Amino acid sequence: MNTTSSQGSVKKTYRRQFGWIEKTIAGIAAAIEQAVFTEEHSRQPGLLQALDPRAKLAMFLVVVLAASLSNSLVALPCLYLVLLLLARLSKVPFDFFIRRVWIGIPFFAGIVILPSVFVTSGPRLFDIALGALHFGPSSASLLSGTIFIARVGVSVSLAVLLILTTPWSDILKSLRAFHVPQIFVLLLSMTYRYIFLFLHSANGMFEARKSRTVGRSSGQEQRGWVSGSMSHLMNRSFKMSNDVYAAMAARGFQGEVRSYNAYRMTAQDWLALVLACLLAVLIFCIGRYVL
Amino acid sequence: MSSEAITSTDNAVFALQNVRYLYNDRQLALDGIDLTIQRGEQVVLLGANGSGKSTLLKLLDGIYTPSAGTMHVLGQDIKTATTGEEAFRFHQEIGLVFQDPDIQLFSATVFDDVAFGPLQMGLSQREVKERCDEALELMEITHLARRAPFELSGGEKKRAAIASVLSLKPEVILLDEPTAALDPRTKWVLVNLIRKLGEAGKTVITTTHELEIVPVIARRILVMGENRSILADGTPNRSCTTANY
Repeated sequence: MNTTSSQGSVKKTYRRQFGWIEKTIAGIAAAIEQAVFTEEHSRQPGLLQALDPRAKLAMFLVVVLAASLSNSLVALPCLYLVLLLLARLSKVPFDFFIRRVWIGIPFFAGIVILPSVFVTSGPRLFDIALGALHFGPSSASLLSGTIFIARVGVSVSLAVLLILTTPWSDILKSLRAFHVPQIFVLLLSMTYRYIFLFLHSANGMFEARKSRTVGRSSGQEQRGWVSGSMSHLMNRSFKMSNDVYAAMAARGFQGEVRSYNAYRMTAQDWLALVLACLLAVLIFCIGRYVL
Repeated sequence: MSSEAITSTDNAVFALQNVRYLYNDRQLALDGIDLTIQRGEQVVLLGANGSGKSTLLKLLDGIYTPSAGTMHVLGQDIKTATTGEEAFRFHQEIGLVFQDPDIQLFSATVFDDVAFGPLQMGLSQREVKERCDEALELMEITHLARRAPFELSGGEKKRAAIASVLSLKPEVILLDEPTAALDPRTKWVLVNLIRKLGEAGKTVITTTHELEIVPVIARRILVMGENRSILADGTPNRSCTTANY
C-alpha cells in the first residue's frame, strides 16, 4: 500500500517535471500540423480554391465590412448560413470550420462584451445587488451583446474560410493588389517560411532535452535551460539570416525586390466579386432598413 | 586531363594565386590556394570537415572576397566582377547550391524560389515562367511548384535548391555537398543529374565526402588538407593516392 502510494507520488512528480516539456513539444507539433493541414485544404478542388486570391481577399474585406456594420439578428445568421454553404462547396470539413470559430469566440468576445451587458441604466430583466451597486442585463443590452458575438463569429468565420481556401503565399502576394509595399510582403513571406524552421529546431531541442533528462531538475535549472535555448536559437537565427542574405545575393539580389505575378482575373472571379459586393449591400440594407 | 589544361589561364573560369581567406579578419580559413579551373571542367573538392571546402566555394561564388592573393573570375578581378552592373553577369554565369537547402529556399513556395534568380536578372514574366518550368522539369519536381518548402522532404528540398540555381542557366555550377543526408535512390538520381550537367558542357565543381560518386561526376579532384590549402590536384585515383585520402 505504501509502495503504491510512493509510486503514485513519483509518477505525479514525474508528470509535473515533464509536463511543461511535453506541452511545449505538443504545442509546436500542433502548430506545424495546423499549417500543413491548412495548406493541404487550400489545394483541394473546391469553389473558393478556384478563385483568384486577389478576388477572394477583396470579397473578404467587403463582406467583413458589411458584417461589422450590420445590426440585424436576421442578416448575420443568414450570412453565416451562406458561409456554411460556401465552406461545403469548398470541401472544408464542417466540424473543423465550426469548432475552430465557435469554441473560442463566445468566450473571448463574451469577456469583452460582458461589462456593457450587465452595466446598464433603465429597466433590467433581473437585478444583482453588490452592496450599493446594482447590476443586471436589459433586453437591449442582451440584444447588442448577441449581435456583437454574432458579428465576431461571422468575421472570424470569413477569415478562417479565406485561410483554409487560399495558400499563405497567395494571400501575401494578393496584398500587392492593395498597394502593400513589396518589401513588407517579402518580409512577411520570409517570416512565415522561417517560423517553421525554428519551430522544428525548438522541437528538436526540447526532444533532446526530454531524452536526456532522468532525475528531477529544479525550477532554477529549468529556467536556465530555457533561457540558454532561447539564446542558442537567437544565435542560430542571426547566423541563418546572414546565410540567407548571402544566398539571395548569390542569385543577383541587390536590394530591389521583384516578384512573379501569374494571377489573371477571369470572368468567374469578377462575377464572384460582384456577387460578394451585392451580398454585402444586402446585409447592410437588411440591418439598416428592414429588420 | 593534361597538366597544360589545368595550369593554362587562357580559358579559365577561375584563376586563384596564393589566395588566403580569414574569417572575421582573424581566423584562417584558406591559405596559399593556387588554382585554375577551365571552362567545362568537372571538379570534385574532397577534404576533412573544416578543411575549407565550403569556404572555397563561397569564395568562388563571390560571397567572400580573398583576404590576400589574386583571384580572377571569367577573366576579371573578383572585386570588379562582383560589383555594380558586372555583378548581374557574374551571378548569371555562376550559381552556388548551398549545403543547407533551407538557406536557399527562403520564399513561400518552391516556384517563387526558382523564380527569384531570373526575376533579379530583370527577365520578363514569360521568360521567368519558361525558365522555372524548365528547371523544375529537369529536377523532376514540377508537381511541387506550389508547395511551401516546409512541406518538402530532404531530397525534395535539395532538388528544389538545385532548380533555383539552374533557372539562372549558369555556365558554372558550384554544389556544396549535394548528396549529404540523402537516401541512396535520391542520391543517385542527383548524381546522374550532376553528370548530365557536366556532359552538357557546364563547369561543375562539387564538394563531397562520398568517394563512390567521385568517378561518376568528376575528371579532376582537388584534395584540401587540414592546413587549409590544396594537398593534391589531378585525376581521381592519382589525387586520392597522393593525398592519402
